[in-house]
This record gives sequence, C-alpha cells and structure tokens, in this order.
Amino acid sequence: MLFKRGNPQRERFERMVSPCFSSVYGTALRLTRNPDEAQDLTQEALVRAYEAFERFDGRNFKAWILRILTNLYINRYRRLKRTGTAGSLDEENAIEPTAPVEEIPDRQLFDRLLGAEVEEALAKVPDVFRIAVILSDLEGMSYDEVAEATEVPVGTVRSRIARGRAILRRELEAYARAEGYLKDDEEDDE
Amino acid sequence: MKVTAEQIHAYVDGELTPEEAGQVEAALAADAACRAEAESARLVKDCLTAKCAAHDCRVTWQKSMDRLNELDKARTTETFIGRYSWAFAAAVLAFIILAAGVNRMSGRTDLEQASMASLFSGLNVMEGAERDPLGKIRGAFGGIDCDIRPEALDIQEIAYGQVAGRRAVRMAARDSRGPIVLVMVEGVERFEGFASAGRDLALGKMNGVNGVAWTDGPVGIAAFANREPERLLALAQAIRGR
Repeated sequence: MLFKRGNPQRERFERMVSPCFSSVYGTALRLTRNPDEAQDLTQEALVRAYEAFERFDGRNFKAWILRILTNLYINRYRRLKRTGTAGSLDEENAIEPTAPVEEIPDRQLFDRLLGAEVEEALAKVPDVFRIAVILSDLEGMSYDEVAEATEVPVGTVRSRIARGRAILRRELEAYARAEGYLKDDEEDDE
Repeated sequence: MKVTAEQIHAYVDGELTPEEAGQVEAALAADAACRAEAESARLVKDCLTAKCAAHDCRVTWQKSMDRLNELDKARTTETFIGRYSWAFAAAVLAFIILAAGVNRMSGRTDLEQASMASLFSGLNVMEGAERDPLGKIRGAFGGIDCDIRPEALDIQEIAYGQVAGRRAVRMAARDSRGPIVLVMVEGVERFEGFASAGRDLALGKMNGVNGVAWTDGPVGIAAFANREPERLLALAQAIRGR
C-alpha cells in the first residue's frame, strides 16, 4: 500500500481491471481447467498487462487483457497439456459436428444439466473453439472483440464459434444421455 | 439462397449486416434444417449463460494485487536508483574531495610512527642553517614562524622536506647534556605514541629514544634525546619561546 498511494497509473489500472477481473479469472479457469493454474495464469496476465499498460490504446480494456490472457495460455500452457485435448488448436483436424434436424435435442433436456456438467462438457471442446465460445457466450464479447483478443480475422471467429457450439452440443448430449436425461431409445423413437 | 451454419450462428449473435441477416431470415423461413441449426445455437448459448456461474475470485484478486505491489516496489527502487545513481556517485565523490581538501587545508592530525621515522632519514640538509636557524625554519614552512629559542641549543644541522605530505624540518643540536634531535611538522597535532604530561606537553618514544612533544600554532614539535622524561620536560620548557 505504501507504493500504491500516489501512484496514479496503478490506481487507473486497478479501476479498469476491477470490473472485468471475474471475467479474466473465469476465462483462465475455463481454459486451464485447474484452479492453481488459473490463478497463476491470471496473475501473470495482470502483471503483463500492468507492465504494458502505457501501450494500452484506451479502447477496450477487457478485450485487451483477455488477449494477453489467451496469448499467455496458448503460448505457455498448451505446451504443458498432456490430456486428450492437447493439440486441439489444429482446426483442420476438428470434427465437423453438423447434425441433422432430428438430432437437435429438446431444450428441457439441457435445462436438467447441472452447472458442473456443463463446465465439464465445455472443457472437452478443443482449445481454439472453446476460447471463442467462452469469450463470445460467457463474456459477452462481440465477434470483433473476440477477433481482437485472439488475434484472428472475424471470419475465423465466426467459424470457430459455430463449430465450437456444435461440438459442445454433442458433449452436452453425451452428458444428458449418460445422466439418463436423454435415452437412446427415446431418441430413436423420435 | 443457401446460407452456412456460421452465418446462422452469427445471425443468432446479432453479428450480421442487415443484408446478410435478411438472407438468413429467408433461409430460416424456408428450411427446417436452418431453423434447427439456429435453435441449436441458441440452446447452447443459453445453456452456457444459465449454467456457468461466476467463480469466486477474491483470493486470486488479492494475490494479483500483492504481485503488483511487489512489482511497484521493485519499479520504485529501480527508478530511484536509476534516477539518482549519478547524483549519489557525484555526492560521494564531492564528499571525498571536500573532506580531503578540508583535511589538507586545516586538518590537525596525528603523525604516525612510520612517518616519524622518515623525519630522521629522508630530509634535505640546508647549508649554513646554523647561522640563521629561525629564518631557515620560517622559509621551510613557507613563512610560518616557529616560536622556539635557538640560543638554548648548539645547532649543528637543519634539514627540510616533506613527511606524510606535510612540510617538515629536522634540527640536529646539542646542549650540555648531549645530542638532541628536534623535529617540526606542519599540521600535526599529536605524535603517535605520545601521552599528555601536562602543561601542553606530551611524552613518548621513537625507536627507543625518549621524546617530548608540543604544538606551536600550526606546527607540531618534538625533541628526542637519551635522557629522563623530567629532563626532557625541562628541555622543552627551555626550547619553547613562551
């Protein structure tokens, strides 16, 4: 606190980061899927942002700090992953999950899923699609903002969000089926 | 016109231009598969929004602020050192120079035994000094008078030079009790190893020879002779002008 007092840049940084901190931490947690790693990633992102704060253009702080976070995650954490989703940044190898009309499940079935189950399903979506879906659907960012945060064209963001949601829908269906909310025979009857 | 799944998702998100949105709306009205895709997009989006709650991040916030505090601390130190390092260095250098100058100009200091030894060997002998000893001594000290009484002694030789960076004079003399060596050094207040004996006099030894010392203005004076301290004190009283 001794050095915080009378440090206008620090005070300005805190004022800007405070409203979007839960988004930063939430995104870190959904990317890393590990509380300790999420905490490290969040702290590292804040330190990087603070160090580079003089270069912030003043337009969209949330998009700017989430770009730092996602870049850190992509560059640093992805290499450490040894799970089944490792290497999921390769978009070309992702399955195309377009489903026929009759496979679209009833909304009430998804309503039965618990938050933890949805989080687990989200965790199974490959990284690039998951990042786009998180930023768009959970953080409420526009496609332009997601494009800025992930440093890809808006067209790529469109593609990633569509494919990410489709993969997530499949995962949610699998959970609904596993939990008995959606039965194979019922689905067949439909 | 056929639309893609990406366009349908972008439509659901309100990310299309009015022209593109019109195309998607037409496709939705005509094609059940498009409607299913749009419903799927909404379903997933709503499910995420409804089920994924915000996480408690208070601990992470505090730890992050602690990290920034450490960063600020390090920055402040670096800035302070970076900004004032030359000033520090200049101040230290100035202090050293000033202290040396003050010491040189007005410093009254001790003369160490090692320097005292060079008084007996390293000075230049003056020719004919015995004829005007006070004048020679004054000349050796750059005009400073030493208040001694040369008539109390039988002066045989006077030498001058520098000891420990200070002007010095050595006088070889005799009195009725034997040889005496008188040394005078500018800016010396005390001779190392000498202790006060009262009446502004100090007694000590140099290479086993007894000596008596006193100061006369800016000059430290010591007389050495192989005799008892009481005799040396009497000798000093005889030599001193006052």
